[in-house]
Amino acid sequence: MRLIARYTKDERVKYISHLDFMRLLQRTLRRADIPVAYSQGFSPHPKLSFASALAVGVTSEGEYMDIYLDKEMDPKLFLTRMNEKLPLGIRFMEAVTLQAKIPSLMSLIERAEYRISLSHKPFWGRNIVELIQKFMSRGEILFTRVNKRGRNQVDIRKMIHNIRLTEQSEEKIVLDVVLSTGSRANLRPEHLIEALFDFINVEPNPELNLGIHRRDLYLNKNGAWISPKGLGGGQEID
Amino acid sequence: MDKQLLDRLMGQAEKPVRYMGNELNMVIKNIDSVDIRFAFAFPDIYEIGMSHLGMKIMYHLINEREDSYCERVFAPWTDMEELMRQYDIPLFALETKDPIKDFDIIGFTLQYEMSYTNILNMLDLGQIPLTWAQRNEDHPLIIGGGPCAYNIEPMADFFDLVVMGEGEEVIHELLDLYSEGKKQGLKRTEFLYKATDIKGIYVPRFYEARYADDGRVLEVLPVDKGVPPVISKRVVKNLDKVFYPETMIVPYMDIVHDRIMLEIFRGCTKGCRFCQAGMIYRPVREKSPQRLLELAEKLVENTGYEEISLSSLSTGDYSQLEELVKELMIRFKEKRVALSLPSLRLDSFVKDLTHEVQGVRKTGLTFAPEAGSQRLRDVINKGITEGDLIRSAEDAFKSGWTRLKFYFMIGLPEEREEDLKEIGTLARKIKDCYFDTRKTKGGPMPRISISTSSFVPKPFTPFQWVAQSSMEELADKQKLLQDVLRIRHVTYTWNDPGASLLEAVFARGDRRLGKVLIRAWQSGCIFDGWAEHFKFDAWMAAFEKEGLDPHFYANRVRDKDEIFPWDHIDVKVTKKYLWAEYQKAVRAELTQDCRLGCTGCSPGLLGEGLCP
Ligand code: SF4
Repeated sequence: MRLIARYTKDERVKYISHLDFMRLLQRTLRRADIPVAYSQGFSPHPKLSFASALAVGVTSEGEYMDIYLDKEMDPKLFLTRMNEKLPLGIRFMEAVTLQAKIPSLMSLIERAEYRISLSHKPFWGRNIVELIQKFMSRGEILFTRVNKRGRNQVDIRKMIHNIRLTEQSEEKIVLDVVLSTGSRANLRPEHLIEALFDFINVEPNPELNLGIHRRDLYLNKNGAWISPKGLGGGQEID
Repeated sequence: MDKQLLDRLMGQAEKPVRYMGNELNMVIKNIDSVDIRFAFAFPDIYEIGMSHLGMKIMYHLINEREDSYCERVFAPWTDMEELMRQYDIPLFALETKDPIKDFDIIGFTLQYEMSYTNILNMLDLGQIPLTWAQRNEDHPLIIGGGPCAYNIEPMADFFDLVVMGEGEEVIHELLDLYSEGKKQGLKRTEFLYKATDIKGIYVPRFYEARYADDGRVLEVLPVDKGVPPVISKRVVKNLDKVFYPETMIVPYMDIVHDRIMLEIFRGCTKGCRFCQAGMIYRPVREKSPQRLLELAEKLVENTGYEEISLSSLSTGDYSQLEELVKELMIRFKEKRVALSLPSLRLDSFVKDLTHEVQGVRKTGLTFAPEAGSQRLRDVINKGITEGDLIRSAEDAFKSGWTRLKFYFMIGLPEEREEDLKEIGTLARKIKDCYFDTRKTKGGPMPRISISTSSFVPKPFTPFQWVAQSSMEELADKQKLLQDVLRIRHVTYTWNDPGASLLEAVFARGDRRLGKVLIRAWQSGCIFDGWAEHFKFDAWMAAFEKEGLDPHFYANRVRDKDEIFPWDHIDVKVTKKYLWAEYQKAVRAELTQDCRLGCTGCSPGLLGEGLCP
C-alpha cells in the first residue's frame, strides 16, 4: 500500500538537514510501529522518499513523504501514530492512499511556493510593487551560482513564476513567490533573494533575510498546477 | 540576550544543528517551577559530547527531580564562537537558549586532559570569571566530575567543587543540600563547607599544597579541621537498582556514537597496568540480563534507534554475554534493530548468529594488543597472546572482514627496540593469515592498519611512578616503526608526541599548572585534542613564562615514597598495591584477572562488601 503524507517543519527544527531529516523519519516510523515496506536485495532499505529536499534554515507547511507499507493501514491511524512519536516542531497533517502506478512525487514536483520575509531597510522609500514589476519585466535575469564544481551563470528569469507583495510594515516586507523546483529546473529561494538585492544594489547580508517558509509544492496535472494533496484518495487498482 | 539574533547566527554557522537543540526526548520544563537550574557541560563539540554515556545518565537523572532542570551545553566550534563573540552572545544552554551565567550550577565532565582549555574558554564565553577566587554570590557554582576529576589539582583554581566517583547517588545529596541552602540563604562558602560532609565531595579551596625546593609536592592538607583530609570515591553498590535512563535524546546530526548504549557492567578486573579506567572504576558490578533486556525494550521504543551497542570496559568478560546477545538478537530481529558487538570475543555462538542477522555492519574490526611482544604484554599485564590475535584475525577474515585495525602503545615502561620490531612481525603474520585463509584468488585485498599512541603514565595506576619517554625518543620510535611497517596492505598511523607530552603533564600535574592553563588559553590554545588546533609552541611559551618545566611533570622518574598531588584522594586501590604491581611489571610477571580470585587491590572494597 502506498501513502503520501503532508507534514510541517517549524522554527524549532528548521536547521535539520535533508539527510538528517530522512534518518529522523526512519526512526520515527520504527517508534510508531508503522509497517514500512523494505526493498529487496543485499542491504534492504525502507521504501520511502520525499517530494523535494528542503534547504537548511527554511520552515515549511508543504512537505510530502511518499511511502510504501507492507500491510494495509488506515491513513488516519498513520497520522496519529506518527504525531505521537515525532519531536516537537514536526507534524503530519494529512495522509492519503495513492495508486502505485503513479510516478514518485519526487519526479512529479515542478514548483514550490515560498513566503519570504526581508528587512524593509534596504527597500526603504521605494514602491515595492513597481520594483517587482521592473525586476520581472526583464527578459533575462543572470545569476552566478557557486557550487562545488565552480561558478556558472544561469538565467533564473524563467524559473521565477510569480512574486507578490503580501505584507509591508516598518520592519519587514513579505513576498510570496513561486519558483521552479525539482530535477528539471531548480531555483533556491536564497538565490532569488540574492538576485533581488543585486537588482537594488545592496550587498546581500544574512541579517536582511528574516526567514523563508515553504507554503506548498505543485505538480502539473493536465495543464493545471495542483498540490500533491489533490492526487490522493485513489484506491489501489492493480 | 537576543534569542532571535542567536537563531539567525546559528544559521550562519557550519552546522547549525549543533546549537539548535529540540531533539527527540529533550526534556522541557517550566523554569519558574524549578528551584535549581543545572547546566551539564561537555567541554567539546556537540557530536562528541552527545556520544557520551555519562552525560545521558546524569541528564535524565537530574531531570527526574521535580526541583531541578538540567540542560546541556557544549563547546561551540570556532566558527560559532567567532559569531558569538562578535555579536556579544554569551554561552547558552541548548534547551532554553538561556545564558549559562544565570544558572545555579554548571557541571563539567572531565573526560580528557586535553579539554581543559575548552573549559576555560566556555566559562569565558559564558561571561563567568575563570577562578573561584574571582567569582561571587551571583555566579553559578562550577563543579566537575569524571575520570580526570581524580587528579583535579591542575584545575583546582577553577572549580568550586569536585565529585569523586560515580555520580548517581552523590548528585542527589548535593542537590538536596543546595536546595536547602538556597532556602536558608547560605553563602557560597558556607554551602561549600557543608558540602564537604558529603562523602566523595572535594572542595579544592579548603586544601593547600606545600612544595619542596626541588618542586615536588610535600603535602596537600586541609586548611580547616572540619574538612576531611582524605576524600574517598563514591561507588554505586547495585547496578540493577541504580538509575538508568529509559529514554535518550536522539540527535538529528550524525554523532560519533549514534545508537542505544546499554551499560552492561562497570569496572574491570583484567588489571592492565597502564589503564587508569581499570583501576579507578573498580570493582566490577554487572547489570543482570533481565534488567538489560527490559531497558533495551524501553530504549528501542523511546528512541527508535536502529542499533544497540553494549557498553563496558571489556564486554567480552560479561558473565552472561551469550544469553544476553542471543536474546537481544532474537527480540529485535523483527524490528531490524542491529547489535554491534565487541571485536575480540567473536566466539562461535555470536558468529553463527551474526550470519543470520541483517544489518550487522562489516566495516572494520579493531583489536588492541597494546604491545608487540609477549614479554612487553606481560609487563603491562595485557593477558593476550599472539595465538589469540592470529586466531581472532583468522575468524574475522573467514567471516568476510577485510579491514582490521590494531592499536599499540609506544614508550611503555621496559620497552626495548625488539618489542617495537615485533609489531612489524605481527603485522606480517596477520597479512599472511589473510592470504592463507581466503578461499579463492582475487577478490578484495586486506587492509591492515596499525596505529600507535604514545604511552601517558596516569595517576592511580601501577605506572604512576614512571617517566614518559621524551618527545625525541617517541619520534625515534615512530620512525623505526615507519621502517618496520613498510609492508604491502599495511598502513601505519601515529600521533603527535607533543600532544602526549601535554597530556602527561596535566594527568600527573599539581596546582601550580593552573597558571599555565590560563596563559595557554590566553594565547589561543583551545580544542587541544584536535590536531588542527593544537599549538605546541604556544604551550611551551606558557610554561616558560610561568617558570614551570613540563619535563619535570612528564619525564621524571618518581621515588617510591614520593607524595603525589593526588594522594589525598582515595580511589580505593591502595598505593601499596599499585607499587607492588609496578614491581611485578618490571619482572614481567602477570597478575591474574581478579574475577578468578581477589588479588588484594583494596581492603576498602572488601570491607564495604563491594567485592566478594
Ligand atoms: S579487592 Fe580484590 S576482587 Fe575487588 S577489585 Fe580489588 S583485586 Fe578485584
